[in-house]
Amino acid sequence: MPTSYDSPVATGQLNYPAALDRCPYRRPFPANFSECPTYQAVSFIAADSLGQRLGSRLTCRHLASGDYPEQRGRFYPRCTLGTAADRLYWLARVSQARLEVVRALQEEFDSISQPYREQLLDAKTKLLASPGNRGLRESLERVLVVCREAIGRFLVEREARFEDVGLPIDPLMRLVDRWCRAWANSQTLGAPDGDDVGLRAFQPHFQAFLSAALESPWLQSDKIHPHESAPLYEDSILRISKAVEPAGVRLDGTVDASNVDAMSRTLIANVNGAEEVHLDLSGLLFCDLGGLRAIVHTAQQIGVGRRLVMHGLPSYLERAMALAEWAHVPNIVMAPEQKQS
Amino acid sequence: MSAFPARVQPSISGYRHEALLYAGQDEFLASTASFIRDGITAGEPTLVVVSAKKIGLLRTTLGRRAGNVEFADMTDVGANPARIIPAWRDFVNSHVGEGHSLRGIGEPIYPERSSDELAECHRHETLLNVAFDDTVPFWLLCPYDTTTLDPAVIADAEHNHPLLIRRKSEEKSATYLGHQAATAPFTVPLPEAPADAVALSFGSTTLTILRGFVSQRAARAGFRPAAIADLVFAVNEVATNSVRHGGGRGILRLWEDDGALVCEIGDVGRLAHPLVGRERPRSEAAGERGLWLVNQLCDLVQVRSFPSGAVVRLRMRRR
Repeated sequence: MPTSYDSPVATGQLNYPAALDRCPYRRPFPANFSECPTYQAVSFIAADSLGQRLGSRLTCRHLASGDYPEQRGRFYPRCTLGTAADRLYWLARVSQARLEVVRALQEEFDSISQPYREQLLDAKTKLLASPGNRGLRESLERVLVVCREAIGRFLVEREARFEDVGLPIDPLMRLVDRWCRAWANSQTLGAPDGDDVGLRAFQPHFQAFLSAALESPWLQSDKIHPHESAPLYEDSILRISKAVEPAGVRLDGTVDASNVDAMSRTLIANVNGAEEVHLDLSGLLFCDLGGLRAIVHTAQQIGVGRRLVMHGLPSYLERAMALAEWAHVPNIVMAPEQKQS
Repeated sequence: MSAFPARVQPSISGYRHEALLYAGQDEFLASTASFIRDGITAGEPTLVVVSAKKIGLLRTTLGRRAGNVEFADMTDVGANPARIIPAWRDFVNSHVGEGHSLRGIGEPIYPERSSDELAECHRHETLLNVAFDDTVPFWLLCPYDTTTLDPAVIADAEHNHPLLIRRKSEEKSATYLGHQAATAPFTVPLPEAPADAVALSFGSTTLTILRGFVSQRAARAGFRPAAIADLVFAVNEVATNSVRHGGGRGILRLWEDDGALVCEIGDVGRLAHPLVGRERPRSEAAGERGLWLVNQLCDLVQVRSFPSGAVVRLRMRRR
């Protein structure tokens, strides 16, 4: 069954402009859902307004409900990361490996926290039924203390992994505390609204691991003009386009055995002209050794006195370049700015 | 007084790969220190790759003369035994054209080696017989401790070294297997994958799924992002090799073993070149270097080429 907010677009009878940040996948998400590369499963215990459990459900961290601008009151499932291009660019910025670590941490958290979440729901359901009851308030507070301690231990035991994904555990614990406080004092069982103050402690890219980010510096709407410039090459996992400022070529997506030959041809054919050709790799999700080889090959083809400047090369690829003895190819330069890991 | 037979000249004309079968630390120190001193006297550059503990003992024994000798810790250089031949070649190349003979001492096998590492160490010793030819004046001594190593390990050392030094006397190894052992496909069986290994088949259009699978498993096993990226890159290279040269597809098997992830890629291809993955690539674009990279990224790489197909098993510790 589609959820109710789906119907306006799904039926196609209403003349809305399709929101580009609409989540294109079927919901509810199945347990092994893997179609969306940025999907971040979060389990929650669904309960009705009386606190009756409806079971454990999965949603996506990035799913919110959006408002159609022309039709107030009509909602659609909105991806807080943005459009399909935005999602991929965000993923390239945080890296597939970091997202995978966050997913693993979330799974571990969901499994460890399940009993505490049950106890919290019980305690709050009772309190909401008799709001003035001091004893019920105190027992909710007691459960919160125990839960907080468990989360604290969970974070400390995984400190390095949280650090790796841009979520140092001290501000994370403060965020958890604020969230728990807000939830304990709210009048519903549902999650409280987003907590801007707590989120601000993290970089915007990493905020999105926890919630809708306060800023979205990865948004591509002003950088890609899909209708204005045709891509130089495009397949289901890679898009190569012309970059204007600085002049060169931009790669978004994945280079592997399935498309490396086409990628190589496209590069060679599009690096004529200026003394410096800039290669924007900041949208690269993955590139194999063959892809790096194609870049080196291109650099060696562009001729004496010209240079290939690489931007946004992920650190594992920088490592691979060095191990492959390509760290000092004469006409390749690594742009110093915006180093990513 | 040299511990070596008088007929052994301080300089040699070609490549010499020799096992030193010693009984305990005192004999190790006496024999290797004497080998090193002879080299110093003859002005021969010497590289010693042994355990940190033995480096310390040798430095003490050699005193001030140790300053002329290069030392490297075998647990750094040769944790993955496939990285040792490149280290010897780097050493030889760095002195090429100087007119000296060269000396090396390399002890890749110590009791702490796992059985998988041990198999790769023996392979490494076999390959050393073809890694240099007789145009290189390089005398490489490989110490084996007969008091701590299994007799089967010593027997393999005798298979893999044309020359042996035992109780201070040099002899030809009666059981040396010759170059043939190195140039024939390596078919020593690998231990069975455990029953809980997960399998995934792949082809050229499903490498994305393969990479997602490996990164998910590595993250669940507690790997940190940099290690996940390296493991995914390594597995993808081997799988790409299957796609391009190994029949267009292959099967990945993956399991956890004692804090490490093991990823095995099997296909119907052949890996015929004996030194594949052990030759430092040159800086031009062309030239295979997938297995070279894999050897630098992984803690252990086991390459087999059976009549039925090739198997590459990668191991990476959680990090």
